[in-house]
Amino acid sequence: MNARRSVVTGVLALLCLAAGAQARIKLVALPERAATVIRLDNPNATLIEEERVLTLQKGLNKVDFSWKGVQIDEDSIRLVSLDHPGDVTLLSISYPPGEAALVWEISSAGDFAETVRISYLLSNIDRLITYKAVANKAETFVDLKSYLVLRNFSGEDFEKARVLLDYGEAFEQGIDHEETKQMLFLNEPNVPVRKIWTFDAAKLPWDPEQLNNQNVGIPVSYEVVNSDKSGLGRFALWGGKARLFQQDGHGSTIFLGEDNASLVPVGEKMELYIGDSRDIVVTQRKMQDAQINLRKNNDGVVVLLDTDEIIKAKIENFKDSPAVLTMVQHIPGQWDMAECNLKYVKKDASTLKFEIELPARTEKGPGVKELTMRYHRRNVRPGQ
Amino acid sequence: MNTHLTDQQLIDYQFDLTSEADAGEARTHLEKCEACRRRLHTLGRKFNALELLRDDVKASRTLLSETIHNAQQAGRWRRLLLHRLPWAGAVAAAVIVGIALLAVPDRGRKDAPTFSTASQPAPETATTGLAEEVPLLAMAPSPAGGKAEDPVRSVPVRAYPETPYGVTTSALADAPGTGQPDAIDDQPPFAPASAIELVVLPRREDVQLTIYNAADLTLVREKRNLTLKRGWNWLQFMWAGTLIDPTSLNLEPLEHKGEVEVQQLVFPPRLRELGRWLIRSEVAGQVPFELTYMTSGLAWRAFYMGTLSQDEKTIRLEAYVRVSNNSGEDYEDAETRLLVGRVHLLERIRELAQRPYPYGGHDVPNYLDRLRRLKLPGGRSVADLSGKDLHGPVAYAMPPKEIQKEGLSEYFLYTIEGTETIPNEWGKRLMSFDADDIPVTSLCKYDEERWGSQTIRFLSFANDAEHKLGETPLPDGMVRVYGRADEQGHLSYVGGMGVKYIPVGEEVELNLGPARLVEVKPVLMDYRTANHTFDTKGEVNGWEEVRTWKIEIANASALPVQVEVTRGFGTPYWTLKLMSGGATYRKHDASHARFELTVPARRTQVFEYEVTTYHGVRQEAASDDNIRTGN
Repeated sequence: MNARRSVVTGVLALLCLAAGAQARIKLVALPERAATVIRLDNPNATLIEEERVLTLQKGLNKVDFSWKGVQIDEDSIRLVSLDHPGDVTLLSISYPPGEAALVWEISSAGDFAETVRISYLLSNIDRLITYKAVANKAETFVDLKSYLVLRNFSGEDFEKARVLLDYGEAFEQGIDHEETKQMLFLNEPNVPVRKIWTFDAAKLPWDPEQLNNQNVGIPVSYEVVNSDKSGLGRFALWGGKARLFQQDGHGSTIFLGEDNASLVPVGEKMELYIGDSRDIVVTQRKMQDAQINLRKNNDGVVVLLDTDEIIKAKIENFKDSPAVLTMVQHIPGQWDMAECNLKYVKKDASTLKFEIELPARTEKGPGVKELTMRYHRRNVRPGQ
Repeated sequence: MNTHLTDQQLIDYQFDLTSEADAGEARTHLEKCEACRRRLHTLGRKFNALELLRDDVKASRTLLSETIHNAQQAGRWRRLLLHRLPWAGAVAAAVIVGIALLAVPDRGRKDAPTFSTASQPAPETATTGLAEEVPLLAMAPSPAGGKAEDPVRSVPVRAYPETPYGVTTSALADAPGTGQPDAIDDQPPFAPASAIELVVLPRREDVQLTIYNAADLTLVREKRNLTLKRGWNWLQFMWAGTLIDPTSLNLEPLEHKGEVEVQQLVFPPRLRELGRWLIRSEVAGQVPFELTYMTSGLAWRAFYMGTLSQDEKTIRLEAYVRVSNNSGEDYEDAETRLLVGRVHLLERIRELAQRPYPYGGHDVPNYLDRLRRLKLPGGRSVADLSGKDLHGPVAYAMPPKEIQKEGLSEYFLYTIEGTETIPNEWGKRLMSFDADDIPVTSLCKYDEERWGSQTIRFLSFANDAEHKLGETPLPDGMVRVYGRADEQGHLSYVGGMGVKYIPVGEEVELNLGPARLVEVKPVLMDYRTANHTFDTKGEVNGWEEVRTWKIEIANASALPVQVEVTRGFGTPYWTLKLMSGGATYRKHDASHARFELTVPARRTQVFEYEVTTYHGVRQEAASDDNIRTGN
C-alpha cells in the first residue's frame, strides 16, 4: 500500500459490531484498486471509477470506505456490484461523525470475492488543453499539435488509470498527487491555415495622420477550420492556450505569438490572434455627411430625416506579398447603400464585411486598394 | 482509621444511632477526611430539607420502629442492589430513617456539620453510569399513597434533589407484604420526597422518528415500560445535552388507561432540563407508556442520481434520502419516517429546547406558567395542563407497517421499512425509490433574458404513471445526472442541479447546465422603420420597426437535439412572420414568442423571422394585425 494512498477501502466482516456501529473496526484487508478510470469529459467535475474486489461473506457485510486529504462529493459515491448484481444488495450507507468516510451495509447471498465498481466525483483533478502550431515559411500550413495537461492536486495517487476525454481514445496513465503530466494527443501535420488581417472600423483609428507619428497595428490572426479537409473534424477542439511558431527557412523557428482558443465544434473555425501588422495601412475618412428629406413639425423643427454619407478608405500593402484584408464597417439603424465600389457581405443589420485582396508592394510603391461607399441612413429622429 | 466511613456509618453518626465509642471514632475520621465530610454534608443537606417539615409530622410509633428496622437492614438491601446501586439503597433507607427520626421531638436533631457549602459534588447514586444515555427516564414509587397510617404521605415535602443529572423519582409505596391495597390518597404529593431512590430505569422499547425536512423538527415517539407502584408515582425525565422541546413532552399509558393517569408534568425550580410526571396508578407492575416529544437536530434531505441511457431517451432515477442526527441523542432501531411538506411553526424547536424555562421565564409572563403556580399545591386542575391536554390529541397516527408512502393532509409521509439506527452525529443514506426506463425529453433552451448567450440543456419528464413515477411527490433535492459512456456500464458525469418539490402529476425539468455542443446564434439581419404618423402639430406620434432576425443553431453533438428559442420584443405590440427554416413558433406571452425545431446530429440549421413592433399610435394597428393574423 502506497504510503500516500489516502482512499482506503476495507471489508468488515460482520463479526461483533456493536449497535450504533461506533465500534467500527477499521478494515481488515485492503483490496487493491483495479481498473481505475479518470473521466475528464466534463470541465466542471471529474468522475473517478475504480474497481475493487471485496471479500463478502454470506449475510450482512459492512464495508468501510474512507478518504483523507481528498475532496469527494459524498452524495456522488456509487457502488455497483459487477459479478453478482442480483445477489449482492447495497442496503444502506452511513456517514460516521467527523470523518470523511462512509460505511456500506451490503447483503450478500453467498461468500463472494465480488468485484465492485466505485464511482465518485473528485475535486482538484482536471485537465487543460494546449496547442502548438508551427507554420511553414509561406504561412499556408501549420503543424498542429495538441497536448493534454493532466493536473492532479486531488490528494490521491493514481498508479495506473484509464484516462478518458469526451473524444479520442482512452489511454493508460498513472498520475500522482501534485503531479502534472503533459501528453501529446493530437498531431496533425499540414493543416491548411489562412492568415487574415482585420481592420474593424469600430475598433481602430481611421486616420493615421492624426496619431502623431504612431503606427496603427492591423490585427493578424491564423484561421484553422476544424473539418476533414484540414485533417481535423473528428471532434470538437477544446479551448486552451495556443502558441504559434513559424519556420524561418534556416532550420529554425521563430515565435509568432500566442492566444487563447475557444471551443471549436466540428465545422467551425478556430481563429488565433498572434499580433499586429504594421505593413498594412488603412486610412479612412468620411467625405460627406449631409441631412436630406427633412420632415418638420408645425414649429419648423426637424422631426425626421435621412442622411447622405460617403466613406472612403485607402488600403496600402507594404508587404512584398499579396494579402487579403478583412475590413469591417458599421452603419447603425436603418440604411440603404447607394453605391459601393467593392463587394461586401452583410454580416448583420449594421455590419458589413469586405474581403479586400491587396497586391504586393512593387518598386513603384505599395499595393493600393480604395473603398468608396455612399449610403443613406433613413428615418433618423434627431435627438433620439 | 484509614478507610473511609461507610454510608451506614455516616448515617449512624448523623443520627446518633451508634455507640459513643463508634461515634468518637467517626468524628476523628471526619476531622481528617475531606471526602467523608463532603459526603456527610451532602446527606446533611438532604435531611435538612426534611427537617423543615418536622413540626407537621406525626409519626406513629409503629412506623418509626419499622423504618428504623429497615434502616438496620440496609446493608443487606444494598448488597441485593449491588450491581447497579452501590449504596443508593442505603441512602434511601437513611432518608426514611431520617424522616422518622425527625418526627420525634428532641431526637435526631443534630445539625450536620457544615464543612463546606461550596460546590456540591455530584450525587453518588448509580446514575453516573446511566447518565450517558440522555434523555434519562427513571422511576420510583411515590412517597405518598402508601399505607393509610403512613405519616409520610401527608408531609408536604419540599426537598428537591440538587442533582445536576441522574436520578429520578422517589417514593414510598405499599410496603412489601401488605395485603389488600387500600384506597389511594386523593391528594397527590406535591413533589417527590427525594431523588435518591432509583428503583426502575425503563429501557426504550420502540422508537419512532418522524423527521420533517422543511423545518428543524422531529417528532419522537417512544415506548417505555414503566414499573409502577399502586398509588402516586413520580417519573423523572431528563434531557440535558439534547435539543428536546420540553413544551412538547407528552406521556400516556398504552394499557390500563382508566387506571393509570398521568396527572402532572412539573418542571421543578432551580433544575434545568428536567421534568417530572406525577402518575396515579391503580395497578402495580409494568405498564407500557408512550412518550412523545419534539426535538430538533435531526434532519433529512433528498437527493437523486439519474443515469441516462445511451440514446438519452430514458433515464434511471434513484432517489435517496440522507438522514443526519445532530440531536445529541442516539436513536437505535428507530422506525424512521420522513415527512415532506411545509409545517407552520410559531417558534423554532431549537430555541424552545434551549430556553431556561420551558414556557419562558419570569420576564416573559406566560399564562400557563402563572396558572401552574396558582393552582399548586393542590388540585387536579394542574393535571389538565399535562402534555396531553396542552398539545391536543397526537396529530400523527402511527400508520400500519406495510404502508410505505402515503399522503396525509398537506404532507407526504415516507416510512422507511424496518428500523434504522442513527447514532448521534451520524448520517445515513437510504434509498427511497429506484425507477428505470423513465422516458425523458431532452430540450435545449435559449433565452437571452434568462441565460445570456448560453444554451441550457434540460431534461424533462413528469411525475406520473406514464413516466413510471407518480406514486409520491418528489421532495426537493439535488439531482446528479450521469450518462452511460459505454456498454460496460461506465459512467460520465453530465451535471448536477437542485430541483424543487414536484407534486404528483407535475412535470420535472432538470437543468443540466450549458449545452456545450449546441450553439444558438441570433443575428439581426435587417432593420427598418416604416409608417411614421404625425400628429396635428407635425410631431411623430407613431411608427413601426421591422427587424429581420436570423437564428443559427449549430449542433455539434452526436445526437439530434430539440431546441427551444425564446425571443422577447420589448413590447406587447408586435406581429411576426416566419421567413425561412423549419421552426414552428407560438406566442409565449404578451411580449415573447417561442420557436421550436429539431437539429440533426452534427448539423447547423437556420431559421429567419421578421418581427414588426408598433409604437405610438401605430399600436392600434398591431391590435388589428393580431386579429388578422391570429397572433
